[in-house]
Amino acid sequence: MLNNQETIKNFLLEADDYLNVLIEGVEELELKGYNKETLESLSKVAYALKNAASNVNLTKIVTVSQKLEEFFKALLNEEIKYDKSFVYQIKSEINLIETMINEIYESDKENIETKLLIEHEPIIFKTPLGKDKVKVSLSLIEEIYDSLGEILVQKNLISDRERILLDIVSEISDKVEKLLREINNFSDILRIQKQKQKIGDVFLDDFESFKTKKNDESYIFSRKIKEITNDMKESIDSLSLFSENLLFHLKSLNQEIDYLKEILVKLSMMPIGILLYKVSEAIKEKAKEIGKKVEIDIKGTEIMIDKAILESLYEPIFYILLNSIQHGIEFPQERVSKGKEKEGHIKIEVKRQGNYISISIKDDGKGIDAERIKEKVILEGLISPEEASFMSQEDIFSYLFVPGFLTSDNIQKENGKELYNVKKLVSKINGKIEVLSELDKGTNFIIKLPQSLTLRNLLVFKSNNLDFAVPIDYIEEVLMVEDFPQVFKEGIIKYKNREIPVRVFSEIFLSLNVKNPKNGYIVVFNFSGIRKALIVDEILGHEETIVRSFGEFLKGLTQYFGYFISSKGNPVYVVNPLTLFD
Amino acid sequence: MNEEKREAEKSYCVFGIGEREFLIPKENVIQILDVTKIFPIPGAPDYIVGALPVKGKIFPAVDLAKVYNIERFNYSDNKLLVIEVKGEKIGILSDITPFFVSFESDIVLEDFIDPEKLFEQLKIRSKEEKKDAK
Repeated sequence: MLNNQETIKNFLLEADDYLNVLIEGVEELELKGYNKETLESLSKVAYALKNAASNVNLTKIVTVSQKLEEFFKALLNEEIKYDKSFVYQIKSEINLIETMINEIYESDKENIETKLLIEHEPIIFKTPLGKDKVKVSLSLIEEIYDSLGEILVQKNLISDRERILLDIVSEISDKVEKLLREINNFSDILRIQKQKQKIGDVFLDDFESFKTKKNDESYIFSRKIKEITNDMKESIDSLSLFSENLLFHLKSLNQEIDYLKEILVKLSMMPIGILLYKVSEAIKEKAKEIGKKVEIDIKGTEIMIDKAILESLYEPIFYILLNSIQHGIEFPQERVSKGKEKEGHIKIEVKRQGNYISISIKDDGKGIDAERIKEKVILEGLISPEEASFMSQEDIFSYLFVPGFLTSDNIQKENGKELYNVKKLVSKINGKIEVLSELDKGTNFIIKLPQSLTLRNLLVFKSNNLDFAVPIDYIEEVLMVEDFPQVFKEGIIKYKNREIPVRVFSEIFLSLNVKNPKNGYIVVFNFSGIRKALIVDEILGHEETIVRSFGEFLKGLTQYFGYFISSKGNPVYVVNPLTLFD
Repeated sequence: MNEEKREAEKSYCVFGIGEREFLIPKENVIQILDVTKIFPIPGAPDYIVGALPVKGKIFPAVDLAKVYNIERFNYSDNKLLVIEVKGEKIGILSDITPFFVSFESDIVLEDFIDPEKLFEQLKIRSKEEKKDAK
């Protein structure tokens, strides 16, 4: 009993501090208006209060402070639009906590607990979160996607036709100009003849006069044709102006569709901050358990990402952070002896780069020794010492993700396995992962992801009269077969100091024997540092489109991500390049 | 009496492969199409003759002759019987124009095809699933 009272007493002291910080924070919020710094500290304090209360089983305080914490985070991630009136609501919630705590001061725990249970529900979170918001089911969004896909197909069809029309118009225009030139030449000749005749007019005989008449007729005829052709040219010019206008309208239609795509993509997106805060809290707990101190600084929380991607990001980010606190960041004493701060620092920075998102996770721990990895890679016979001397840091570190690699090394016994898993998880959402490290300075993991899984950037190619596509995210370069005459014999290309294994698409996918085509292309993929190449017959171009997944019946065809219907109406199968090299 | 009889009847769609005829419940049949352009799906088993694009989506077309080892003598007059199973559309090649019949429901039918069983039997299994099955 005494023990219990003791812990409650401790809690009360702690809670007082937290409450003061909360009140100060809200006042600051009132003064400065919406600002991330204050909200961040508020959410941290609310979190701390929640933990403290849960240790002494004051469930009511736990729920109120947890809801406060969630509310601050929602404000932080801009899921809820900040409104001045919130300050008063937050204040009343804090007051509620304050009265609860005061009541504990005056009574013993058992009584207060029952009292608190019948307390009213916090009001703040019952008010609708943002009046201008509605809930949309994902299936509805999918339906709009479907319809948008059809619009894209139709639009592409019109664009194709428009291109054909433009070709025809320009061809006619060419021909008309040619015709005009011919007529001009012809009439010039006639004119010269006429002039000659004028000179000899005096000596006219019957035959000559007949000839002149004939020439006059031809001259008049040529004038007429010239006029008609000129009219034709005018019409053609206005036709080409018309189709140029049409092209302009199609372009603005394109812009509109692009805009619509963007909005649709946004509909199924959430701010990445939600996830990053969640993972960071879990990691801080873990760090405490193993006796290390870490500060996690997060930037770019407002960046939006597909909900499906967000959900599959938790694990890889958790493992990377776990790796940092287990193997990267040193124990406090060790850090101090190295002249570092006692607390380890992890910086998570999210950036948008076009349609991609990069998440950089950087710690200031002990780093990874590139030389040791190099030695190990050579020792395992994965590369020769000569090759190793040419390798870039990036390439050396990419071996960290090779399954089984480093597992026998005493520096990072579990890492090999963990990092391999991280890579697998990231690949699943079509992401790439890189690692950079400097000994004793720290390690930096960089994950690159598409912002959305549904709308994909694809390279479309043809093989044996069927259309295929691969996501551009994986493609590093496209080379010409003619520049690598040995490729069919050797099955590899030597490029930029690398030996890249090459396979022929039509051999793997269509079981065809290729008779060394001279005009093919070599598509070089980069799977998180590991490069593989694929020979395809013909590249049709680039397309940004919605990729549909195969239904249940065809789902077993794991070599494909799905398909889309081309503007010509035929299916284009989107190949998962990772399965090509298994 | 008559009404009762009607209630006890069940409607089927009859389609043909080679010299054989099969029955499938009428309620699964969506439409009957002329076989126009079917695009092969590389990597699919041989009984899947290809994919048929319809309104921005594709559905697979299957040839049961390959499943039941039926020999075909004429390839003309191919029709595609489109059925819906488990929310998905599948086309079945038929050598005759399919037609509808009704039988009393207590009659045991030979050559009756249960669409759900067919779906489970024919759906493509991934490499992992195949390994598990072994």
